[in-house]
Amino acid sequence: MRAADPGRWISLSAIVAFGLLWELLARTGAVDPVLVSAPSRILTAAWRLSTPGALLADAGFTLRVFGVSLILSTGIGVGLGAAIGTSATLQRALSPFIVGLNALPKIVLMPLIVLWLGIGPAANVSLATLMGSFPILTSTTAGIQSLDPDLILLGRSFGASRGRLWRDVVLPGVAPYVLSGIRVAVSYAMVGALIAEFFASSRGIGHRMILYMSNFYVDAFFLCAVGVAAFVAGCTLLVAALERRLLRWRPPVPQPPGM
Amino acid sequence: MSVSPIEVRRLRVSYPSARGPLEVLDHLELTIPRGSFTSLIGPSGCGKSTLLRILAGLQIAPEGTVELHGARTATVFQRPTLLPWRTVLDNALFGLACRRPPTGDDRAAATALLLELGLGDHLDAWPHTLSEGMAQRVNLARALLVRPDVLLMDEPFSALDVQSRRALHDDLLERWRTDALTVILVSHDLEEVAYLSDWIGVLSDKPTRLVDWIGLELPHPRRRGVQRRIALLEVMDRLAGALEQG
Repeated sequence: MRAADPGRWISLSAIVAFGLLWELLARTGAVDPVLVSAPSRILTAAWRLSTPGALLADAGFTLRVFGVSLILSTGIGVGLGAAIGTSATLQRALSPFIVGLNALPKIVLMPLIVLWLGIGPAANVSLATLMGSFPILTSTTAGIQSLDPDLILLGRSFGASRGRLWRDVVLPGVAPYVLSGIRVAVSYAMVGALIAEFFASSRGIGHRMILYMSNFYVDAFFLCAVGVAAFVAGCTLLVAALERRLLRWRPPVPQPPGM
Repeated sequence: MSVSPIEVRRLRVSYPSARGPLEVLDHLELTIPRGSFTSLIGPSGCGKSTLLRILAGLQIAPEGTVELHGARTATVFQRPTLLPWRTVLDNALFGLACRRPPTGDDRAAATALLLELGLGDHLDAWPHTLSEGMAQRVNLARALLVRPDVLLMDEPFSALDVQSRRALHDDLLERWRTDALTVILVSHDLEEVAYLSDWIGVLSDKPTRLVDWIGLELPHPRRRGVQRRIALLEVMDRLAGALEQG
């Protein structure tokens, strides 16, 4: 399937064509390379910066914040989502807060978080976790609520214990929902980590991007942006591959045209 | 093997409804001989499934008693309800796995049974690839593999086409004879119960009582030959009459 997938080649060719066009426009002076950079300038910047120095240290900091936040988001999202999914009372009680918090752009909470936790990794992890938890929470709740009640009845008719029901019926049934929640949460958590660094941090890729920009070093700014995009896309593909591997049992979904 | 019959005594079940309690079972009395193939037939919504769920221990009898004398039950539901993330073989083993981890012997027994039921080529298939008839065979295998004394079946053939239904009827009769099972089948198909059963209980509309209890001593296979088919039709006629009066 993978080798014969023409969509993959079309996507790759489009990326290459875009890069060539960008380079061409910058070289011919149709656009100002000082403002929009160019692939060759980004590569030069990468070469000049790739000495084990500040950029790598900042990338490491952002990665740690991102990783910790994603793990926390998964724990909170799955735990709270499962609790809400199994208890109608809890759902009634918590849904106004969840809907409200979900509607609020989480960025506006950053000043409060800094006020409470001070500037530092704890504040960054808090914002990223806040952003990452919601997609996992809502998809876990949806997963629990869409479980076929006949499957539970079936387990009970064979005398399955509560633990057995969770392990053999609930978890495998909810797994597809949790995984698709995590796939979305990957980019949300990264957005949270970067924005926290934009606003209040002396470390991290986000901080460095602001630094580059204030020094008008557009090439290095683009280098960071492309790097983050590639990393998040890679993580998303990884989760998608994990989904395909774990969910082999699902009937193939007919692809809508053009997807 | 215990020979005490399964006894249902003064079983009364009612559900709350907008117009006061709705009586589903009205002091129902039933004695089902062990080792028999007993069918319960009645109009839709007459509480047959409720009775079966009480026998399966999935619902508590609010009034009256159900005495199984320690017999182990397994239920075959109307829909196959297979776990979509388990292969055919692992689905067949699910009933057992609910009680204890399956052993190598269990897997061998499951494989042999699935082979017998014509699923030998599909042991590793995912449920979504199965036809309705094949899925229902896995459902049957899953119940048989827990080695129940009593097999409870809730309209298990109603979604199948005639051909798969008849094939499954014969497979079921075969298992009933070889495994010394007691089968309690809930159905609303007259031909089906006349073909399969040696006892038939006819239930009335709500509130449900037993209106007729028919013992059949027709030899199997009952669809073979004109004489047997005529006997079958006579039973169906009597059942239809009892249902109308009920």
